[in-house]
Amino acid sequence: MKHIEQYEQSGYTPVSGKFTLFLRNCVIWQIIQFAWINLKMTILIVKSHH
Amino acid sequence: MARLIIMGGGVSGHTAASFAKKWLGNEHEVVVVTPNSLWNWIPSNIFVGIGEMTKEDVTFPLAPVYKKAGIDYRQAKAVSVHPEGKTEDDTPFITIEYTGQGKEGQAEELTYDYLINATGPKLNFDATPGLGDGKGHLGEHTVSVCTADHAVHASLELKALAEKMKAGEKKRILVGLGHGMCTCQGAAFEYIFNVDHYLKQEGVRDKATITYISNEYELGDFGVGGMHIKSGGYVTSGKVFAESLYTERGIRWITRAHVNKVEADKVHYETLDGEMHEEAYDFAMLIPPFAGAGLTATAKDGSDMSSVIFAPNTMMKVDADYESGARGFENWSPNDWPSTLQNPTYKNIFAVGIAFAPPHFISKPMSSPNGTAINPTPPRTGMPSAMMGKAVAASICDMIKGVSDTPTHTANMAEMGAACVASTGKGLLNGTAVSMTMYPVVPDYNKYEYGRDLNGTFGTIGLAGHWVKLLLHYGFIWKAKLKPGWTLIPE
Repeated sequence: MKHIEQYEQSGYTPVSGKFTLFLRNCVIWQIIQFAWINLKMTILIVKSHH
Repeated sequence: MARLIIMGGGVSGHTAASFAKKWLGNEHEVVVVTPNSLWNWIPSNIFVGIGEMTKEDVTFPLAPVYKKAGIDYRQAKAVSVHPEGKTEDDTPFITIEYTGQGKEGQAEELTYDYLINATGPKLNFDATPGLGDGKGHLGEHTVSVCTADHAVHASLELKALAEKMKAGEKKRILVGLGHGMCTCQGAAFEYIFNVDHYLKQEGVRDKATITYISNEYELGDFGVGGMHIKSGGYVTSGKVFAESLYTERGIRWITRAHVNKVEADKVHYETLDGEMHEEAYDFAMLIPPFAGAGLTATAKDGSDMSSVIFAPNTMMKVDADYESGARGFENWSPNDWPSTLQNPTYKNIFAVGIAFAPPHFISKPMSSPNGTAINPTPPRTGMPSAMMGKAVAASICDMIKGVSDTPTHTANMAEMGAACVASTGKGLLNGTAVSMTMYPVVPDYNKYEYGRDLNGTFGTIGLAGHWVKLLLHYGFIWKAKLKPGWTLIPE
């Protein structure tokens, strides 16, 4: 399948490789990411309340 | 006994009312005036717009929740503010007009000791010819996901379109911003990915061309001037991140565009270079620009004093530096942004969320050679608006209790972060999402090299963000219903 078109918008943007695509749906990796995102958001919330 | 009136029952108003009642107890009165009978978790309207959730999944009746909390609920729209009272009585009051509770059309005066304006936006569809119906409502050509009812309508239209594609027809889908001065790019961003997801599920993605149209200078601007994140050893612009998302889904984009006319099968738009274009469509979801709720203010002698407490767009003046806009983009400062959200003239009036008048844009103001302004206005929805509601409620409670004569809490967008999760799908394992945070919302180039804290500003794609989105959906509806432990869920 062709992902990009030369000299079109898509010809100048990065696209994900196979390993990145795999990680986006890898449940174990995503559980770690879930914890990480929640931690980041919690820090953000704590820093934002004054 | 003091009376606090909150005009508006959306994210910021409901948050303010809930916390104020909790902190003030039965010694003082909390009144919510909102024309709506239902509370709507607006971020999930996106899922309603593709038929993955129902209106009932994203709304609930306000009356029983407020009854349980001891909040005086008036299903009415606020019409005018009278901060000096009347000739014979100095007590400030507002006028309201009922939209429900069996009193439809009736007017009433409500006196207050403190007032919070949380009226949210007026969806200004008529700002673009053809986008509205000429009476202030959504027009016949396009759909919207701004309200739950709009989203239900959008899902029905999308489903009908998919049926035609299943019959072999090719269709053109256009999603984006319906005016050069829109905000809320995030909603269009999330909806377009959900449309892509829906069409894939229906097996007709190859029958559709999907195009995004936006007033952003570049993708990823989001009305906050874009952002930089650390990725793959680089500090890279969010533009790259956003363009990658569109490319991976085969979605074309048009930026720097002001949609100036909507017709049944095409939009007309002007770009920053002054050129005029057209884009044909079979299905279009275009977000309208926002305006203030249209409140007026009246002086003691009955004369109009709206300009004293409202900006020309009827958003309320607060403790922002309104002279700063004229100083130019290069001279803008985080200090221009309001902290206490208190009206400078009437210290017992506050405004939160969309209802407060920002001092200027966050993105750089731009206009075409024809003089058409094309740039996003500042986002003030979701997480920041809830934080504002809570901070203002805390300040007012302290003022009522005599702790302080001045606001004790602040909610400055130059000192607060925001999170945005754009998710597709509803199941636990078949969804994906883009999760983004930024800190602070208003960039501070004196403090941070890239305008924001790179440790607090990040973006990631994957299933985890989708789980976060589901958690936010169920968590915030739980919180808004004031169910046990609601205060433990942070805003």
